[in-house]
Amino acid sequence: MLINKIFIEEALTNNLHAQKILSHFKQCEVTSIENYQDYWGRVKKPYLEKRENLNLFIAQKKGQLIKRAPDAYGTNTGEHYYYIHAYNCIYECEYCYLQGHFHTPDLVLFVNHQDIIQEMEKLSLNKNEIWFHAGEFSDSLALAHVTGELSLYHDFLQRNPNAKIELRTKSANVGQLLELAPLENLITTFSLSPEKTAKAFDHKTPSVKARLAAMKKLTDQKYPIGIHFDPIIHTDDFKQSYLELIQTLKQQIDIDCIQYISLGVVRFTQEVFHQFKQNYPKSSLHLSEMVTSFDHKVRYPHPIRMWMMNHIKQLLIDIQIPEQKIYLCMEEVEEHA
Amino acid sequence: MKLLVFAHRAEASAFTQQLECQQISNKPELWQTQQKDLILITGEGRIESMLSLSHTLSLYPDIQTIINFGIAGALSSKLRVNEVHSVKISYAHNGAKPIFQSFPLSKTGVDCLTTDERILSPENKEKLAPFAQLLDRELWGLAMAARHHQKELTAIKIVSDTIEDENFCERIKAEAQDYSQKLFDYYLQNFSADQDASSKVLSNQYSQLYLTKSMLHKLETLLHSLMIKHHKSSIEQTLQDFCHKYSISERLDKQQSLEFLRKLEIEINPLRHELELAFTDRYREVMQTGASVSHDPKWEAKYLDLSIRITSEEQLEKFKHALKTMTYQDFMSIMQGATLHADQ
Repeated sequence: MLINKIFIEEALTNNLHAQKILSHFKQCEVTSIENYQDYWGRVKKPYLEKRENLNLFIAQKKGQLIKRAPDAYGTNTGEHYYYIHAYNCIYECEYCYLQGHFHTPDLVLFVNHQDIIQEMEKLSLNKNEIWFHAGEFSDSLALAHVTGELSLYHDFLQRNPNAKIELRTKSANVGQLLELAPLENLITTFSLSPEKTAKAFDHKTPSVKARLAAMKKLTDQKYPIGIHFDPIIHTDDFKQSYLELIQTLKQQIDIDCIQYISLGVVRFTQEVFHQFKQNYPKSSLHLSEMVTSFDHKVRYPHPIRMWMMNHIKQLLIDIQIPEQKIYLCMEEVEEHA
Repeated sequence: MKLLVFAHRAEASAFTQQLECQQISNKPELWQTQQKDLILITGEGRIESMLSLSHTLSLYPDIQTIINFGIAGALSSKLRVNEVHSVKISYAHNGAKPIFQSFPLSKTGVDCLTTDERILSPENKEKLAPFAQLLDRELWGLAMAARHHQKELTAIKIVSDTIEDENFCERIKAEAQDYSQKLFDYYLQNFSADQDASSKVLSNQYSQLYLTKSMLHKLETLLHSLMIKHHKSSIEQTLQDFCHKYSISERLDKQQSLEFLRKLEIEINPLRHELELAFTDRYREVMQTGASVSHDPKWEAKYLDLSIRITSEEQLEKFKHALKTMTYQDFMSIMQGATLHADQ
């Protein structure tokens, strides 16, 4: 990973997590700052600057550390929240909503994990089932070897069996996880798409083959996993490519370890769609006829979305994935019926 | 030099992005395209637009053509949202009374009424409907300025709301990018000069097609998309491959060439075509009685529109009979994607 400059908040100079992160970037210029918010995103920095001019901020997350997840975000049991451990991502997926979300692609790694966990403890009190999702604003495992916080969350989950954490990733970076014992309530979920689609749209991410290999490592040792077929993108060989992907999945993974599978068709907010067009003017995704849908997001027309999701759902049922483990992500509520 | 005029930035967004415009320094409302044409954002309203255009025409006497693009409300129930129309005559209404002066802009198209206030309620739209089919806030001011400077003005409007709609401002705002893109597509097909040159090259190289100017534009747009989709090395190669695919060896007449263009369109978006076929197939019997059955053009809202003009008892009986075959369930099954197969 190419980091241009590192900025660290003064209060974190002696923080162990911050030190661990810095130890991975010994060649980088490091600047102490009072508050990352004085710099990060204060000027508009083009998204694709991340390719050649990416800075890293090491900071403390202030304000709301955990937020309520939107409807249809996760499975339909329990309450769903997401926690913010980082902003921005080292990968570069053409459809990524981060390109229109922040005014900068620069990374922020928050190191006050104890504050986040304290908040989780409070929210978990007297709850039968509560979910905390990581990866809303960044890949949750891509830099796990650099940030080294997984054991803290693992301890929290051991103390709170009613709480569940979902680590969402496109990485194959499961080394840190394998050093911890499997827990029923720590679920690592992988975003998957056919290899050709991933190559076309997911830049700088590990290959699908590598992701499947990482999933195998986990399931061989009975770590619970989840899968997000999200975003689903239509290609001319859509049916064949998903058939092959799902058959490979069945061959390589112990499917009993799959806790749930979400299906979501590619979608953009208006702002992200605008940025996407600017950033990737030659993307073949522009050729799809998309419309402004029920929530003002830009998507394929309704029948096409439903057809794609139902087709993949059937392929999954065909390999003996129980239907109740499959849910549709970010679609209208009625479509869950 | 062309001057493209918009009221709002959002309406111009597809143009400023895709024509790779540069903002002219010290003039936040003016942009220049790579081809040295200008884009002007006038702001909302008849007076604003008149002053802004007038000022720009004074600064740039080389402007030959002025084209206004923008959204407009429908004052006629015959106009549908997302339709693009050129304006025939520009009229105005100052809130109290209609303004006497009008400006003929084109020999064909629909008429447009410019008002000094936003007209939001269906009742007020009804009151203005007799004057024109479209409603906007700027065109008359632009036409006045163009007339003063003895320049030709063309106006292209996309319908953003129907005569029955109310409280549509938020939706229009949210969909501004879509409207802008559709206007830009229209611009490329009808006004873009640089496309002419490359189209002529294509036309010479592949003379087996009968291509009018607008067909050439369309062909190039389609080929460009297909080139990206199929990772072809050039537009010429793409055309050659598809001519081969559809066994085109002899010169096609206009109708056959149009059919070829339609096939290329389907190549880009086969699912959409499949949906339309399924829809027509399901409601064929009703349509054959002279009824019009339509759906949300975006395939998003779950409604059917049904209309018919009855001119005989016999037709009415046929319609009643056919209506019994029509189910909403069939429509929902299409909406759920059940009719799609997408086998290549």
